[in-house]
Amino acid sequence: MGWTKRFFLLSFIFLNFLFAFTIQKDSLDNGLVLLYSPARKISMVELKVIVKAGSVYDPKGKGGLSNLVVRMLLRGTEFHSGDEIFERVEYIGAQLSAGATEDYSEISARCLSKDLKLILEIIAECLQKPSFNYQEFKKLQKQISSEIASRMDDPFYIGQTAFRLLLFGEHPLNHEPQGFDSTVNNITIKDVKEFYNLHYAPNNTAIVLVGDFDQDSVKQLVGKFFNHWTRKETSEFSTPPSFKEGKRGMIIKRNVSQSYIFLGFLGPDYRAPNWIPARIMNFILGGSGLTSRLASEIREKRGLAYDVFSFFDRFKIGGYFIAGAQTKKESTNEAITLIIDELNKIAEGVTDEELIRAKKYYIGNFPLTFDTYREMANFITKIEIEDLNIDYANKFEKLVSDVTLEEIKESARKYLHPDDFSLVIVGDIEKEEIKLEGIEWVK
Amino acid sequence: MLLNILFLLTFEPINVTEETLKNGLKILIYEDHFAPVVSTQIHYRVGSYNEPSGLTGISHLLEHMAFKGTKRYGPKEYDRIIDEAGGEENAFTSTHQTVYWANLYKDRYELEIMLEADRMKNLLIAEKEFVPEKMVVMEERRLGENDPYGSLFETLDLVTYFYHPYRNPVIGFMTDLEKISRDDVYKWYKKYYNPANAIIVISGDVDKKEAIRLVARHFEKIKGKPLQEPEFTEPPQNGERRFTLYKEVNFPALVINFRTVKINHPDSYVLDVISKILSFGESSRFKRILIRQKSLAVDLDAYSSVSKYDGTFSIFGIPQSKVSIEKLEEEIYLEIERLKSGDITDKEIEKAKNQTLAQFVFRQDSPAGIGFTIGHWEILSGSWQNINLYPEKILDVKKEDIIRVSNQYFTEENRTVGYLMPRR
Repeated sequence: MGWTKRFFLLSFIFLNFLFAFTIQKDSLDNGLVLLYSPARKISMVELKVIVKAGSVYDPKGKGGLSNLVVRMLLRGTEFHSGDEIFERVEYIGAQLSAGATEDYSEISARCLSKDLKLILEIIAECLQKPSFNYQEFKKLQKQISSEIASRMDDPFYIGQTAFRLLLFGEHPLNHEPQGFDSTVNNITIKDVKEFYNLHYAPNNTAIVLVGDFDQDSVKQLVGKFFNHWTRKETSEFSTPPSFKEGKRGMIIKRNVSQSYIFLGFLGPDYRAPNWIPARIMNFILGGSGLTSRLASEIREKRGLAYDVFSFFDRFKIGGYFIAGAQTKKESTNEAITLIIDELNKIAEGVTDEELIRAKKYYIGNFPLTFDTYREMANFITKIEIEDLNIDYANKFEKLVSDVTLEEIKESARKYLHPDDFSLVIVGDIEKEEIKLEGIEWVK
Repeated sequence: MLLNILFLLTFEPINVTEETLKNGLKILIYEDHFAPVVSTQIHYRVGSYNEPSGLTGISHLLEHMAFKGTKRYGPKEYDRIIDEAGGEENAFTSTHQTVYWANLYKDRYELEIMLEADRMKNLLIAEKEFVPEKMVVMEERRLGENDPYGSLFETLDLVTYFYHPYRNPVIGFMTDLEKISRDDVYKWYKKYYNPANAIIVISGDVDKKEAIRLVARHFEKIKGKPLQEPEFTEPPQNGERRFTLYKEVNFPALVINFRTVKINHPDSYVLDVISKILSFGESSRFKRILIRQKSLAVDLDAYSSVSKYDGTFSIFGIPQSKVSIEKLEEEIYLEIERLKSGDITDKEIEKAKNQTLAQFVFRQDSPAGIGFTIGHWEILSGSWQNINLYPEKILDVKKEDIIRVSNQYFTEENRTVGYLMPRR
């Protein structure tokens, strides 16, 4: 059947209970990886096929290409039209979709166990024999660019996309994976084919399966449907974004009753050291709902906003941090000042009590992060994409327990930059009304 | 037909254990031992439906105040306790329900039971906490208004229902929020939060006897007071209603509401099959024909919502750039006419049934999700057991039913149409 190399078995012990969750990993001779976790709860299967080329591989001016390519795969093969593909899948009640993230492109499916063979066969055909029909391409291109343009009616989406553009400049992390309507309209069918030829290869692909299936027959099926796919050289994008000093701001005028505030800077990538302390630090700062410091100051004490947040978004070659809130126009300056104050304050450290609570949260919450097939499939994807050791789950509890107050302070000093930030405000406000020193306003 | 039979063989009903305490508190337990996680939920039988004019939004405001301190625990103490236990918690309010829930590791779900009992009898609703929290809710309302489609759906309900409380938004009108006092909220709490007006749903890795024992331990001493709920009936529509809203948007949007039936009505199952044929999945008529083949819409969805006393069948669409909203509306009606005239294949009907039944299985993947479904059906339809009747009712739907139901409800005089247009 052509299976080679690795065979791992993981089952982990957590909070002194044996967790009945095993992940196995195999790979075909052509390099295709299979990660699977058989489970017997309900007779369904959750499936993901991941190709390790996401939107950071989009060429300049063609933001959204990786997303368009993976969505084109479901729009027709050498043997079936797009309509036929969806009809076959949906007739049996299964679901099939495709999309890109920053790091990878993905086809995902969920089906009843009895239909797994058919779904694997269809996905194998879409991946290896796409037709890239020109008419289908033009239709999909128009559909996606209209989807993006219509989302630009949402002030939150406007702010988020503007923030990335302001922060990342020319770096390909400057756009959401679906791109902008203008960049999607720049893409040609030739770009689509080139991207596919460059990145789609078995040695750049992993299949993740979770659910009720027989593992021997699944291995046999994956071998049958994917064994003839030929290995090829693929390249890896590895230029990190560059840090810019100073404060930059952008105001996007919209006739809405609130100011949507986004303030942040570059953040750690997957490989950055001391991620766990940074995560705990953010939990205390703005990641823990109503009990976080930001929520406490902005929402609970002053009633200035409903939604207050901060988070790190991490990718293979970079990342960012955002803190934000939406507040009525008159409270805009107060909310921004409170956010900056809290960024400064947390660099002075957190209390023992705050740290203990955050640790308890992460340890107690860990089993809840994969209590469904879908979440397990996401967890396995994370292990594969972030190159985590497969025994990551075993170590998690210790990694969290070992974090010290000193490490929290260090991570705040290292990863938060209250003097060098990008600020986007969407709302009915002028830059003269923003009372902040030393901001360079960008149009 | 063969495929349908296969489904019946694999279909397993949801098994729920039911128990009612002397004070009227109903306990529903669903065991799922896949992951060591338990979802504990309390569903109160109160929501925007119960709110008189002048007090719209009060149930939701109370939901916010329920996190602001009890006689035993200070403000935010609830969130802190659940955080430290590694739990996920939240609450939501809808037309007929106010729900508080927490998902926790299996050895500690009693915490949530204990905290909910405390919340049921000991809320303070202190003035000092009430003032900023009301401001938070007003910000939440502004957020909804700024969402491009928030006001469109709010207006749709107002025009669809002239009289029935289903016209009121769950978040409440801003002028009502401004006026509602701490005492109003406290009275609302005292009236509606008691064991006879609530259901506890526990779903996940539990032993049912143990779970019932724990609920009894914390709740049995609280006094129950059953409530009667008035039933309102909206008069028949007798004529098309239309409205247009203007906002700062680039893309117009379209909504259509047809008045239909309440939950448990035999036609509700037919309406579900119709919504699948029209818009579920990429091979559905709306996605395949109107979005992909004719490139008329960016987004187009149809869904049937049946509630306790009435229902609607809704269509929401965003036209492609350069396609007029009138053109999209016209094309939607052409698809509806095809249903009315019986232009439907057996394969389409079978597909819609297979999708409904597969969704029934998929939903069992999440213990919390199943818990919400159990509470929803118990409160809206009168019994969780209707969940298990659902697959058979769907399998019973025939082509003649689809033709009859389409002709009965999808008429000009029974519809409300709203346009969202870019401000001129």
